[in-house]
Amino acid sequence: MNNFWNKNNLACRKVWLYLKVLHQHNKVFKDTGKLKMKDLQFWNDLSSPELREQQAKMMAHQFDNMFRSFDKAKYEEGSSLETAVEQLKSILTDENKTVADLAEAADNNYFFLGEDLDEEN
Amino acid sequence: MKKINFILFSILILFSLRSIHGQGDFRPFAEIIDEISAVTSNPESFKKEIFENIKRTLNDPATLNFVLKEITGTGSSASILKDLNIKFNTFEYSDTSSIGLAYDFNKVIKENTLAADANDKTGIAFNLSSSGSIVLTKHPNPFDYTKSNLSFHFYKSIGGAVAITDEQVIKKNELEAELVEYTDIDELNKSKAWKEYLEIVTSNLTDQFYFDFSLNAAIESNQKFTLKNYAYGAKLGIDVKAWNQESTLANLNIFDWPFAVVRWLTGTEDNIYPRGSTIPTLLVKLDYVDPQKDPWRESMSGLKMYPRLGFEAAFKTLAAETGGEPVYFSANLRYFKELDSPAAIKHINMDEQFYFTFALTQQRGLYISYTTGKLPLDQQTNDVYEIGWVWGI
Repeated sequence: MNNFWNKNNLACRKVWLYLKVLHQHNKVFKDTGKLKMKDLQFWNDLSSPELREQQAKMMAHQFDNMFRSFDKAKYEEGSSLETAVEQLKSILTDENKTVADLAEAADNNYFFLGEDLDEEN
Repeated sequence: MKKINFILFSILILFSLRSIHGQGDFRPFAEIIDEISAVTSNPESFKKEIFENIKRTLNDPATLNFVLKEITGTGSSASILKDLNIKFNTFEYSDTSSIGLAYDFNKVIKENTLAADANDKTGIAFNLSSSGSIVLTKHPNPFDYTKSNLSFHFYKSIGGAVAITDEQVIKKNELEAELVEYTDIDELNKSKAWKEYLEIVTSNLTDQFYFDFSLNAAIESNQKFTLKNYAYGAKLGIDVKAWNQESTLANLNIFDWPFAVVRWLTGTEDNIYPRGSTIPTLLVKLDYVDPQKDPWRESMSGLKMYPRLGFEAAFKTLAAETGGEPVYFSANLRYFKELDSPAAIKHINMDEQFYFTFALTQQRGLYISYTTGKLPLDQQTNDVYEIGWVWGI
């Protein structure tokens, strides 16, 4: 598993909880980082890649909505809506990427309110 | 048997490392096996089992996927291949099975956002994509349809979440810090912190509508390129999700009602809650097809261009949870209809193709699926059943 998965990291916490709230899994934090995209509810192995791409893009936009509306998150320097959504989407379309990878992409693109404090804990 | 598998795995690793790095003198693999088997009580039986294991392991899609991941996951090629997904599969037929490869490449060439509000976004993008599957034996490919596509997209995402107050953000962060400490999912789901967290988050989740309209130019073919079409057209993708359980739209998701009942009956959920997060995703396409290579069609009606309507719907939901692991039900339906087709094509029912597949799957456990129908370049209907077991490798 990606070593990024850490309960003190805000991006990891939020990705874990938002996926749970959106019915993508029902796991505690420590068991979620290793879950792969294909283990989540939105991933449909039977769909055509173009349909999966569309579903992943919608999910990426919903993460952006939640980070910005629920966490007052700003884009990191060098990131933007296009970059952030594209990077989240590229994880969400790869069946073998993990939730930890998704959290890392979120952390690379968003600055969460209170993030400077969580790095010290 | 486990011991032999361990020895075999160790040998394969050593073999791979020596082959990849080219360090030291390379000794024939058979010579190494001879030396190891010499110290066993039954060398011939040992060697036979080793080689049978090797054959089985090398023919296993899981091994091939592992090697593929090692090759593509590191080094300078990783950046080139990051938009390419390749997966080895086993295709099951009524009397045999065969190794195959599914690939999917998608690259956004250029994207611009026209509106960037959190819950109202609009954008345009140029995309290049390619996908398909290849059977690596002489068996017919049950999913014999590959497509490469250049497209211009106009997309819009509306809704999904509304902004909460700064006080709620602070409270939510405190609850997150508390929830992250739970190690038992039942305790977490019953906790006061989780109920408070849901109160803040779900009451501010709204229905999300996502539309993607695109203009496309594609080349589609079968695996051997004995059939080939160019297709020019438009596509509309529609995805609606009612993330809030209280939403009217969630309750109107009739596809999830039977599964909501099953979840309640199996004790997975404490009441009948249809999920708005599982509203089917839709794709509607209208293409003008220019057949390039199609001997059969040529003999029937000539290689004239024709319009084709396409439709795809996908659905996946939680059927139950057993031992803390989800059991998902997935389904996919595709329909293609050739419009204004010649009488000869209509007469033999080749003017429309229907394809349907469904599966009941566990992450680690039983896998049951059934596929029927055909895709545009197939000339016969395939029925493929798969019953298997998924190991968490």
